[in-house]
Amino acid sequence: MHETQKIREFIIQELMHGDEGPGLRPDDSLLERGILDSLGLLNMLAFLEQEYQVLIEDQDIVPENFETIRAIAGLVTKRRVTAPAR
Amino acid sequence: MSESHLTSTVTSGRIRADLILLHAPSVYDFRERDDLLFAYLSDSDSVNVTSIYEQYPLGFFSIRQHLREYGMSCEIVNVAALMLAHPTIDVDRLVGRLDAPVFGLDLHWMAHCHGSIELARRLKRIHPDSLVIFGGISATYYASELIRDPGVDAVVKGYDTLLPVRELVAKVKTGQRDFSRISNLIYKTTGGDIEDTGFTHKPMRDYNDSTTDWSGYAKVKGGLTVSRSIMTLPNTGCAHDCPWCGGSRYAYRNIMGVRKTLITKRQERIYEELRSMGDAARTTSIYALQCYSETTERMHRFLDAIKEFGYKSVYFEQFHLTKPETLRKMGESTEAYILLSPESHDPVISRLSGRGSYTMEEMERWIPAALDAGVKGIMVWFFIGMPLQTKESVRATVAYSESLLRKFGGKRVLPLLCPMVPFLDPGSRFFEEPDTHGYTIFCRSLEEHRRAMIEPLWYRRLNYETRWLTRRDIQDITYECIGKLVEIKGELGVLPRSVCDSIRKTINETTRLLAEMEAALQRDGRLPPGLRDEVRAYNRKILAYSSDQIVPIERPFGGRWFDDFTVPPDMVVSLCAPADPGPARGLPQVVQGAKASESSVGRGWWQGAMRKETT
Repeated sequence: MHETQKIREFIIQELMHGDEGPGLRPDDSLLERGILDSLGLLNMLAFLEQEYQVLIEDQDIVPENFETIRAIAGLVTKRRVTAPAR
Repeated sequence: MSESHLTSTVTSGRIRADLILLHAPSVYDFRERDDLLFAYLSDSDSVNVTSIYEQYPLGFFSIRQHLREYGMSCEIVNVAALMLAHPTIDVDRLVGRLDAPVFGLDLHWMAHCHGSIELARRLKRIHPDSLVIFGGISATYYASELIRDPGVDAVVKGYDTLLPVRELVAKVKTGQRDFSRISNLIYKTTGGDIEDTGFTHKPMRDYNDSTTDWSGYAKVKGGLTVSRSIMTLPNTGCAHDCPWCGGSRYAYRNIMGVRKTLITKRQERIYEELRSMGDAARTTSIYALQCYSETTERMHRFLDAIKEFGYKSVYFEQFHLTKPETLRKMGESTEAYILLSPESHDPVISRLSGRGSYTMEEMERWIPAALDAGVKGIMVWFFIGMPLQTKESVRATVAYSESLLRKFGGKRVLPLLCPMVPFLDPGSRFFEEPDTHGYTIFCRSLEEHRRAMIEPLWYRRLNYETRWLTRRDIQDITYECIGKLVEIKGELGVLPRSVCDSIRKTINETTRLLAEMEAALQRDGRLPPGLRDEVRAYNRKILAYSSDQIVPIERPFGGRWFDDFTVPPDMVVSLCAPADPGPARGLPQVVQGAKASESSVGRGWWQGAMRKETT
């Protein structure tokens, strides 16, 4: 499954508790809609590490990397290239 | 939250009000200390603050609102938060820009006993003609000692000081200094004598009868690591009697001299507070303090209001296993999280800690029902420093926590562990009757506590130890067991591996530094210059962000309800060292939102600014 689809599925199941509401698109702001908060971020980091075997560094934890599903998928791609799984 | 009200003026140059409430850091001046370690976990990391304890009591809002309703102006200046966010801010110059006939400081939690007294002395030196007053539970307990300090003009006793503070400010602003008819005061006369007006104002209903207006905070955008979050406080005192707590029934009876130890707030006030967030409620969390003392009827009405106003999520403190009907309402009302605090997995220790109304087996049977009812998560807090609790017992709590994580798959049931630091509450049963409960008390007076706060090693800061755990044991077992618990969470995928590695690294660095400091102190009675440099560097790193154990990631300052929203950014600029780039990422950016306030330059900035300041 493509990254954006898997991340979207995780968000709907774990952060939106199965309630997608009006629909969640890859470029919707997760922060403005209040979908991704600090507790959700922690769960997201654990998911990304487990699912994609990537290590998200402190400096990666900035809004630009978590603003949208597409941005998160981009971070995964970037980390796969620059920081291979241990 | 920075708009002007009534006769108060907040400009770039000065802040003027009838009453200015200030919140001090726990240790003053923490920015310059290289002789004590603000060690990771020495603040327990149970809430999202640093060991400077930059959160002020919610009662500040009540006082401010109450005075405004009576035509007086009041502003809140969070000195602690400003010092953290702007490391080169000149506090004396800041204080010099504040004009008020009355300055108020909180000594609610004892952790502020050093910083608040030092700030009061500075206030008194800079504004000798203004009145410096104190309030809070600890201020009430130590009123007779506190008033003898040269920086203190009056202590307002009690759990609800709206009336006496209002009367006091009204008198002072018209130049009167005879307070003999204002209740709950201990104060210095103009001749320097100490007068006590008794302690008779003890409202038995409608606690802190004013409404906190969150509409200003609603404009602050939540962010990635700092979620917008407010608190509700529906009562004061307690329906419970935990013997380590200074807010328990026992403590309230003794400190406040009341027989009725739970005084509720009018629910209409709470509804108004909830309503004041407007549409922002949809992306706001609530930490529902002390709802464990609420009746089912009040709790259900509160839940109806939560649902009506559409709050994103609510964290409910619960002492008992919540009843099915309430669980269902919680699940229907919001994204609900329950915080249980059995304190120990061992039912005997749990009971001796004032809990123990359920066993772990009962809790494990209740958890699926709670989750089925729609509760999204359950945090289970355990405590270090309880009666009968040995090192082995704490280790067994961690082993139990692992079984809990495995049984429920981690994410939705989260065990947590924290030490009771820095103090056992004065006024609590354990503090007042230590021998009976196996406790030794090292600090009795306010001054002893004040000195303890600046002990180099945090285990020597503790004002207590138990027959089963020495102070040193408490420090050692804290790092051992929290480290172990973090490791387990990492293995089970509850915490990201990167976060676990970072915490382990911090714990290792902390324990190494503590050991080297202790060795140096035992050997030479002081810390050598090289070690002091290390301590300073460590403190700057650890105080560059806030964190807590539920979300153990580094979070930049700004955006929390208790961060400073009063001092204008240009005033902050003028009070900081020229090289300090701090204000450029100060208040305006918090208001602009996550993108600006959560720049990754944040953490390095604190350290960079401090280096510039000291070189």
